[in-house]
Amino acid sequence: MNFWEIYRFEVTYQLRRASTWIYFTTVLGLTFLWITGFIDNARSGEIHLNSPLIIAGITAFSNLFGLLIIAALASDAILRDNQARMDQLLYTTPLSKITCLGGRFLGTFSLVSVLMLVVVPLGLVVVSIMPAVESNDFGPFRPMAYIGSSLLFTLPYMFIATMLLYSMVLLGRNAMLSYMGGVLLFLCTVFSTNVVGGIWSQWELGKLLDPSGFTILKELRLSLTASEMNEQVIELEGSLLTNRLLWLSISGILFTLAYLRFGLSGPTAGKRRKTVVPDSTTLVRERKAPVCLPSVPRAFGFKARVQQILYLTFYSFREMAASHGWLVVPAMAVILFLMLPELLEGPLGVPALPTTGRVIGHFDHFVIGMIVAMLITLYAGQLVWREREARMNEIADILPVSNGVQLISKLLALTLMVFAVQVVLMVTAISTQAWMGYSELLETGLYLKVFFCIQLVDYLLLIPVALAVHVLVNQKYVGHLLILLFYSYTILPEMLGIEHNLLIYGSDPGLTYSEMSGFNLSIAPWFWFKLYWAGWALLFILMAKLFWVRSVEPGLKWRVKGAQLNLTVPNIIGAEVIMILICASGTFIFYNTNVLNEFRTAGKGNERRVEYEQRFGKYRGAPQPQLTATSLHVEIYPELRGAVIHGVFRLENKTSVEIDTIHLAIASEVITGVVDFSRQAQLIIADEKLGHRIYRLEKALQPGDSLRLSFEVSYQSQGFRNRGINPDIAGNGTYIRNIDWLPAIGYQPNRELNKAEERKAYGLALRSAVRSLYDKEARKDHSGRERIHFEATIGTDADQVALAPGALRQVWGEKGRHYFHYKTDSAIRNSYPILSADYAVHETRWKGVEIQIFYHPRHNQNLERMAQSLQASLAYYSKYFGPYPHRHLRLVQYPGEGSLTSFPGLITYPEEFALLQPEEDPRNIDIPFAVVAHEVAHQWWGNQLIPAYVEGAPLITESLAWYSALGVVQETYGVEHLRRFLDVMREAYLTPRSKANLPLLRATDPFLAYRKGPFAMYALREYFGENQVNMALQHLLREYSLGESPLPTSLDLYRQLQSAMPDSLNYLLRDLFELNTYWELKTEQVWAEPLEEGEWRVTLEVLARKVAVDSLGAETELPMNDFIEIAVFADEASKKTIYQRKHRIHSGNQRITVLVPLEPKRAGVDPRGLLIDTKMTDNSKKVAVGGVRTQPKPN
Amino acid sequence: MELNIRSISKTYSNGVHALKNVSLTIPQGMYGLLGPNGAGKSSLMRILATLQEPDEGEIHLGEIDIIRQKDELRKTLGYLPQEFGLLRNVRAEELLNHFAVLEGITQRKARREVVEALLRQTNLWDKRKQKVGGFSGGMRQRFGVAVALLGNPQLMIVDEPTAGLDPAERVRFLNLLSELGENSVVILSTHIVEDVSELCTRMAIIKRGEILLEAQPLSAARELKGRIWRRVVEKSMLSELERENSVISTKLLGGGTVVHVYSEGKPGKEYESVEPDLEDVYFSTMAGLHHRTSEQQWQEVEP
Repeated sequence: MNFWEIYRFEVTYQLRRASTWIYFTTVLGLTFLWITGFIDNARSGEIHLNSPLIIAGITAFSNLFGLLIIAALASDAILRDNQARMDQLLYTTPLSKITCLGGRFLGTFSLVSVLMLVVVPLGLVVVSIMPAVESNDFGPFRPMAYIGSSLLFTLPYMFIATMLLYSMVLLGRNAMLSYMGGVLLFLCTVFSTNVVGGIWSQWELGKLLDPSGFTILKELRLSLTASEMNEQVIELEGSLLTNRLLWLSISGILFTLAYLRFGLSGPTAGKRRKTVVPDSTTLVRERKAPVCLPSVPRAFGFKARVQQILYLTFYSFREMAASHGWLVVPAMAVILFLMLPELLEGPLGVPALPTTGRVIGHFDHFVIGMIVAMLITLYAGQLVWREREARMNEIADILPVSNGVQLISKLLALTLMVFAVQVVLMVTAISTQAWMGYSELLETGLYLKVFFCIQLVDYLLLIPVALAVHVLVNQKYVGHLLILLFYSYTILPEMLGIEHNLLIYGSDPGLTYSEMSGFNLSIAPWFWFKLYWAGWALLFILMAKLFWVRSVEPGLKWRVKGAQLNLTVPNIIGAEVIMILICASGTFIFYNTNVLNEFRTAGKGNERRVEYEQRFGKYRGAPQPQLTATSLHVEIYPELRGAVIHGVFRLENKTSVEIDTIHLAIASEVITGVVDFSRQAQLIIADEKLGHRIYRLEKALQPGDSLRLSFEVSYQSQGFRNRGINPDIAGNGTYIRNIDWLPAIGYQPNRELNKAEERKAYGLALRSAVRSLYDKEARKDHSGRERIHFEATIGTDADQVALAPGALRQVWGEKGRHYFHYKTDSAIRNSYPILSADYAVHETRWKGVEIQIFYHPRHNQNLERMAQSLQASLAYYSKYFGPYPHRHLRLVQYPGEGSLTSFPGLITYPEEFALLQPEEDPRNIDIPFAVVAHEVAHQWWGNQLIPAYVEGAPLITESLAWYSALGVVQETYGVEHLRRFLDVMREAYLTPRSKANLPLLRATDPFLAYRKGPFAMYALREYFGENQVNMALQHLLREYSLGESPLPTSLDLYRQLQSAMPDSLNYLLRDLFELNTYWELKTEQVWAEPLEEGEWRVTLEVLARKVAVDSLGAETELPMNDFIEIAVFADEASKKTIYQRKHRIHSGNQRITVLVPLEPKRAGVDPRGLLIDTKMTDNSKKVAVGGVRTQPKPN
Repeated sequence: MELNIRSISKTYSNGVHALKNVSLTIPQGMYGLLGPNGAGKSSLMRILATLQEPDEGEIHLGEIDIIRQKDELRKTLGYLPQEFGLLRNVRAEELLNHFAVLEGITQRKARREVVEALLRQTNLWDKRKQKVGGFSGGMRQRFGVAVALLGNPQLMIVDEPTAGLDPAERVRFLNLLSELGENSVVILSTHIVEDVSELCTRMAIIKRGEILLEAQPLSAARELKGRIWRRVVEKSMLSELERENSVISTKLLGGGTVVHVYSEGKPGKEYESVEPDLEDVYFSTMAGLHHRTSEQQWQEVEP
């Protein structure tokens, strides 16, 4: 046979196999799903689904699905000779290695390439005829887009992947390795894109690491605007070229090695040679005794079965452990060990304490689940097909061993395997903790609970499915595929729109764990769901037992007949018991999730929002009295997970018209009882489902008049829900927010659907997500922004402390309960929490302010740091912005994860934050300190100065809070520390990001609010002076501190800044706030000459440009004549500044000469990055000494 | 203990009628099932070995209903399939031990004993540490016998066992079987006439799913006495001869062709009478010249 014959045989053989087509269909289906997932995404960004970049992206990612085909084809091409016993035949024909392997390799490669080249266009065609897709989702048809992505992505990747997987099978002689290799390649891409690029922001590295090229496209997508994306053509250059060359060489080298090591004579050739000549003469001679076997006892009873099961279990386990696929487990452990410290980091990369709860959380990662599921699938297949693949089944199947014994031993062997995996992972987790120097005692109990109860159960539920599918389908590769599809269904049911956990195999409402409140109430629902699924698992086992394949009889008819024969009385009874178990537990669960609690799908939730808007939207803007005082009596019953709140609101008519109708928005989580008014009122509409009540006052409320409204709100946890538990009330760690529980006055626009696509889908009028900055009416809307007098009496368990805003007036015990009375001295914003837990308290003072940190006793790591930040912040802000309005400041911990929130006089922080370890931070910055300072700043920006809810609002709250915190950081830790901190903050600029955006004045997104805003304010400070900027802010605060209408907007801030700045800097304000400006500053050359008396003359050649980018990405170059800092440093690291002054810099090239007293090492334009420049690395340059210039010297 | 096969039929989904209303009664001892490839031998063997199901009919081994009480039968069944493989990376001793556990020999000591005895018996004791993946055809066959013998079977089914064996191995193997036949029902399916004539006390000839003849090999040959005639001819004459006579077999011998012809009387003066052997029985049966249903045969032999 020559090369082409082998090639042709390979292609036609594989094309004839059903499995090839099944895989192909699957890949097509996955691609199709992947594209449909893209439609909304593309539509909201106005990108065409067939723009070159999107086609390339879809292609690159779909190619990953192609790994499935390659894995199947590669392992089959290399190993089928051995399996089909053709090895002797084939290997004896004179095939040279290169012909044989080369032909097959090329066969696999061309087959998979052609299939994959068809997949993406086909997927897009299918999508384009879907009814949900509109014609403007597609741009003009560009054949080059398809050809380009085929040449740049599909063909190279298929070639690389085929080489890599071939190498793995050649080296390991095991089909499983090829699948494992496929999984690894898949993870490689996901890891490069999401972790290396997305989380670590190391895009250059990620782009190299990812052989599929997807990371390159992802970065491109993040950095382009919609219009650019529709036009951008992808070319083989830069990182794509490097990536292709790198991976071609890696895979080429590996393939060559594997090729050289591969012998064509079959794996057992050496041994066979020794034994192939049976000495027939001795055979005859040796024969002495007639057939006479020792008669040995045989047993078939229960005991014998148990013995057989034990024997077979360990036998199978040993066999699995000896195979190569096993290697993935230690590999996984090592990778995890290396990655965990990184994964355990808190926000902004601050190292965090590796508590057991947090470490374990990472072992729940879907990638680990996927790998274990893969192992279960493959090994279940191996166990089921072991005899048949060795063609030993006819011998083995007639042995008098029962199907049950075989099945159970295989179940147990897989269980043992998963158990071993968990042991390895647990050891990894513990060693990570030890490695990171976690000194707390080893929480063995928690470890065992999580690794050997909770996670193990999930895996154990998959095992019966895997075995049953393999038995029922009776086609190994189709079996693998079906199990993996089944598994994907269990982890991504929402893709099919299924939300009820009773329909998602193995699912549960989710467990929550925190050190403060433990598992809370999440264990019981978890248990019930697992019991229910255990019933199904038993049913799977029974099916597998009945349909156990023990004959060579093909055909469904015979299998059913065989199953009927196997259906003995005990089996029937077993089935009945299982059905009862399933029905009983299912009913109980359904009672809990759908009767005791409301089962609400995402779609239903949206419908309710729509209905709310349609029915009550007309009352938006209806004149309503404003809340001015709240008085609560709260009884919390932590153990019972219940609470009752009696409250009185004081409402005042601050409008100029009389009000006779009161709209009351009712919270959905709680039961709101009868509402009484201090004057006659009648309930005219009560829509409890949508949470809206309308009362008519008999005597209208006159302007300036007020009334009292009293209500009762109660909550009692009932059974369990389909998803999660309500964490508001915990045994230890209750955290109630008024917006979630208490009635609110007026129509609530925040209940409306917000996303444009969703509004469109439900036929609602389109509107921007946030109201316009220029909307005058919006500035009068005080909903949730009222200033109130607040008073609360809270009762809780005797061992707990209850907290609310206000000064603590009284504490007493009564009937075994602990009561607290809080009352505010001044009006606060109507946004507050009520907390209760077994807290420890850390106390200190700043001037007249009592500072308290309420923390979980075990989480005492950062108390001093936080207290110091509170003090420093109070000092700085009071000095610059105005007095702190309360006589106390409390920092209170709550369980679990989340964000810090600054309520009036009370800041809550999550457990996660308490565990940060800034002292371990290699960057030597104290981020938790800064974060606390940020939250304290909200006591001014957000709680005293309350902006209107319009565009630009976060500029006033978040940007000013960060800006203020920067001042505290500098005051406490010095300029150098601040510089390092700003470098970390600036990373947001360096990640790929489209330049298109709104100007800061209309900021709504987190990037503008938390990064660009603070940097703009910081630039102003550096241009203009700390005092001046802070003074402007102080004026702003004073102007609006009463909280009366109209509420302030970013325009007011802007006005204050403008009036404080000299006119010469007006252009800068405009660039920073009114426009979306980017500076492109570059130092092209720097050289220095020594002068007499030790001075040096430094000359910089600077290239400058300034552009404004609009929200669609269109760039306009702005003429430039700006003050920009020129700095010269006496060291390479830019630390010793010897010159720093602002110079006028105009657009284009220019030469700047300065004199410095010391030898300069480095110099540049705007080296501190005060202005927004996406490429900061070229701002400064090393100084060249002497007149090495080719150009004439400057005069 | 005897094996009763009553009216077994089997049709495959592709329409092949593998067995048509087959009935046989098989006593203890070696029983030969003779037939060309594709005659339905393996189907019958697999049905007897519980690996396939007949469409209709009944099979009993003594008290055991083979179709419904598969588990019972398996306790006393030995089966050596026509072709099989073994796991690659397992040592002979280990694999036999594994099968012994499945056979219900759960006591470790007994198991060790029986494994050793069988390995010695099948002459594999020296190779016990060797991986079975490296076994030659003959060694694999012997290993299969060892597995089949593990359960001390009452019913031993051997499907085309001697195909891959060298002469010495074949002899040894057949001896082993015939000794086993002293206490059990041993069914040997083959297309090699010698296997049957040398060892079997009873035999059946099967073709296209039907039993053409059931007999004792010796008496069946005796039956044909005087009806088989031999002649040596030139090769060129063969077709003419076939037109005129019922030629049952031709064999090249020296330069000429030896022709066996079935005829009630002497077909011509060139022919000489020969002592019929089992081969003549087989070929004349296959040619449809010698035919008796098993029932008739029974009635003749039994009294």
